[in-house]
Amino acid sequence: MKFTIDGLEISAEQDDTIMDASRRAEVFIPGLCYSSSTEPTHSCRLCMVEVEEKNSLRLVAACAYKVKENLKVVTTTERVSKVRKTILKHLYSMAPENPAIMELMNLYKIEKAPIIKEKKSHCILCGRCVKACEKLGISAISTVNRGVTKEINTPYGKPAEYCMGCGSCSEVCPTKCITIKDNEEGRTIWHKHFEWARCEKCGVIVTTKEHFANSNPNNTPVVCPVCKRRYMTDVFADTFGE
Amino acid sequence: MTKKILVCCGTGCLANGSQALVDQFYLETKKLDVNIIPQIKETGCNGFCENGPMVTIVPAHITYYKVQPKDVSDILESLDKEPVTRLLYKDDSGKPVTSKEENPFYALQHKIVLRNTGVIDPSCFNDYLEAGGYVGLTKALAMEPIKIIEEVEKSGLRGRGGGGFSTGLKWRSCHEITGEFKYMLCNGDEGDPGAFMDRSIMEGDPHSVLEGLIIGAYAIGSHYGFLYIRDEYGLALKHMQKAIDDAKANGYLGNNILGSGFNFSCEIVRGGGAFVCGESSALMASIEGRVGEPRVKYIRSVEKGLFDSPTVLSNVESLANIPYIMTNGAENFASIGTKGSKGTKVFSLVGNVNRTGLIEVPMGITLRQLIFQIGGGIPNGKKFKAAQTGGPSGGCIPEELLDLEIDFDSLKEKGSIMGSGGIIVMDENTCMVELARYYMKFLTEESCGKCTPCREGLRAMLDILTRICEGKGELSDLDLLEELAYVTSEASLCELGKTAPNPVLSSLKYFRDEYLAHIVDKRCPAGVCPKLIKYEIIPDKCKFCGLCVKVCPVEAITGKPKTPYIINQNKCIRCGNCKSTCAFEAIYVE
Ligand SMILES: Cc1cc2nc3c(=O)[nH]c(=O)nc-3n(C[C@H](O)[C@H](O)[C@H](O)COP(=O)(O)O)c2cc1C
Ligand code: SF4
Ligand code: SF4
Ligand code: SF4
Ligand code: FES
Ligand code: FES
Repeated sequence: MKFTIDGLEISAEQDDTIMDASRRAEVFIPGLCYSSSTEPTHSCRLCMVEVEEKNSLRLVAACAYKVKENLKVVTTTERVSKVRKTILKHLYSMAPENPAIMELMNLYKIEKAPIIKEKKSHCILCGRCVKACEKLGISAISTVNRGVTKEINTPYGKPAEYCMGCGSCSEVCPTKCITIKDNEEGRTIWHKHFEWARCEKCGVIVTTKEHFANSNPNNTPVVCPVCKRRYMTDVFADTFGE
Repeated sequence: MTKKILVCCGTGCLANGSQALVDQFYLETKKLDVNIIPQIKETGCNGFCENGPMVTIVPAHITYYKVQPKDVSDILESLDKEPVTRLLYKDDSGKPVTSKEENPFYALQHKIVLRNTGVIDPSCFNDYLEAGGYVGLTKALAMEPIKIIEEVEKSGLRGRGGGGFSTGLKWRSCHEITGEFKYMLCNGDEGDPGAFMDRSIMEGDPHSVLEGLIIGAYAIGSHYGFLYIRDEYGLALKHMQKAIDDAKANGYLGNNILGSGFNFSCEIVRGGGAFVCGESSALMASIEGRVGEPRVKYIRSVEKGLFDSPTVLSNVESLANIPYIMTNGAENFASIGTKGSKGTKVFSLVGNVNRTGLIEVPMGITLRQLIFQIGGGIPNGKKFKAAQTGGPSGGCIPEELLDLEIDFDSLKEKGSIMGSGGIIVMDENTCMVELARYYMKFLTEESCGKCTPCREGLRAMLDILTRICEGKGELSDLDLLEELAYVTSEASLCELGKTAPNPVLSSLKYFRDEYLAHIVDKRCPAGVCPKLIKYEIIPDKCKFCGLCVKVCPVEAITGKPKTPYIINQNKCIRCGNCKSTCAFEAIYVE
């Protein structure tokens, strides 16, 4: 399937959204809640573009709108730029001076003045962390409350019962705002402390005990990737000779 | 013909003691001669709750207001004589009127949706049948589904849940989709604060909603449905459930309805209570047992709705119109209303107006008729300022537009919306900036908070409006408000966000000078915003009684005998106690 973004022809696969196809073709449309690896949330609204429908332009979210044959997408209109700028200002108010946001602010040359001056947690409520954890089958965290009091948290703000300390949520977070404290003893995330699973051969940290157990159910000994490779090489050598 | 005594037992009248009244009627009619014992009926809401409990005698059509158990004997005695004058309503000239039609509150009303409400006993299946109920369904089941859809399209009925989308067209799109399993849903969530039209319909005439739902299901080819009803609506839930049970027992629901071979069953789902749960995708998420948050809808729910099956969602009032259309024909329905909006609309008329309540009027009635004829004007001789239509995400309509003929399109054109039909009347003592702030506050709490432009846009608009109300606003704030409003309405994920800026935009459009007064002169012209007003004592009027001193919670008022009292502005917290206490009108707001 072929379609165009600002006149540039791009190919898309069945069921692709505008965003899926544009990211694959490396044509940049900003978007902070989108990730090709997690379920979409359509929440940041930074990816708004205009599409031609019945001879008029309609503002849609690129991460939600499915590509059709010969679809015309435009991103250079006044409407798109107005919406994008104001949303970025909102995101800047929520996560001031955050590198991910600053990069976009610079790109679109937006004056750095928060709309609301308040100390913020830097979380932009994109929901990627929730989707990442959900995908692992854990769902230790979710959005809680509604309206302006919405936040990401564990049930009742207590140490997350099902969390295994894998850190995937923090990994996908665009603003890197999930507090994760690692030291020699272990890791603290979502109000919960985890001990390290260390490599039985070399003692290096592999991951948290809970995470290792979750991905290796049969009491497999903890071995780091480096030692595992070395071990495999040894086995190989033993079997086939020098 | 047996006389009937209709005792209003809607939520409003029950709260005013109509159950005791019913008991008293039963008690006292026992003593009467068996041949003349009138039938006592407990009906749904008559819409004029502030004058309840209401009692209507038929066939004489005499309606009594504010009836107490002690009045029962007089009413019974008068049955064959002159009506009890003291219980009649007095019209604007003070003349007592007997029938509802003569009561100015009812005179301009036209009842289609509320045709049975207040007339029949909603928990009695036979009452509904006798009133012509299920004739529409019987007729429909003998027709091809597509013919029903054509009829509904021809009637011009547009969805009463707020969007105003053609009901027939929506049904047609779903009818045309082939699908094994389709759902027919009824939206009875009614989250607008102060709105109670859908509640009254479900309480007062549940079968009409159910009949509409069954006809819709037959038309689109659905065999299962849900009625999503607000959890707080105890009486509506009870009556709706009774209606479902009775319809099932009598062959109007279930398998092989009326021998037609058509099967349809439905059940009630209790709504969680959040305002946003009334939005269609959030409502479906909620029925599926997920968090009631809206979803992106580039695929229409008529194709992929509840549990990803083709689904039609129609509002309570929309559905209650259907049996009427099927029974009386599309032409009859389409002869009422305006070019683009046919039929009637139920409104809840509240605020600074002499008569408040639930009314049903033809589309195209003017705001002036609504407020000054039905509503009887503004209390205490005050001036009308504006009317908010469409609930929290609607807009205000100013005095110069009082003669606007209201329908879906005219309201939208003027920057407001029909919404579900709330009308709040405001007098000259209303501050429009504070009003916009109030609605933004409501919406920041009720937005689901999922998408940036709605959540953050509302938060920012509330912040700015609060600043303006506190006298800290700047001129540049007006541009910022407009920018935020624009982006919130353009980029939000669901209709809540898209309509949320209406209160701000419409008040800016019609009452910009009031914003300017707050920002430039640091003055609240309506005398409402506490930080911008001052209470002062007029020396010539003060009679040195000292009452104000007693009610001031912060000892801001001082005075000596025989000299006018003085308010210390640094201490005053602008509670207004002194002004309301002064018997000599010596205190004024500036
Ligand atoms: C925030 C929000 C709240 C809504 N609340 C209701 C409601 O309480 N009742 C209702 O019938 N429709 C409500 N709607 C409209 C519904 O989404 C939907 O359009 C309607 O139920 C469809 O029925 P209709 O075509 O008969 O109007 C709401 C919409 C939004 C955006
Ligand atoms: S660290 Fe915990 S909350 Fe985060 S993704 Fe892993 S399991 Fe889920
Ligand atoms: S914590 Fe990070 S990933 Fe999660 S919602 Fe907030 S910004 Fe998004
Ligand atoms: S517009 Fe508002 S209510 Fe709708 S999804 Fe976005 S945050 Fe939620
Ligand atoms: S990337 Fe599309 S809404 Fe966030
Ligand atoms: S409940 Fe009786 S008039 Fe409303």
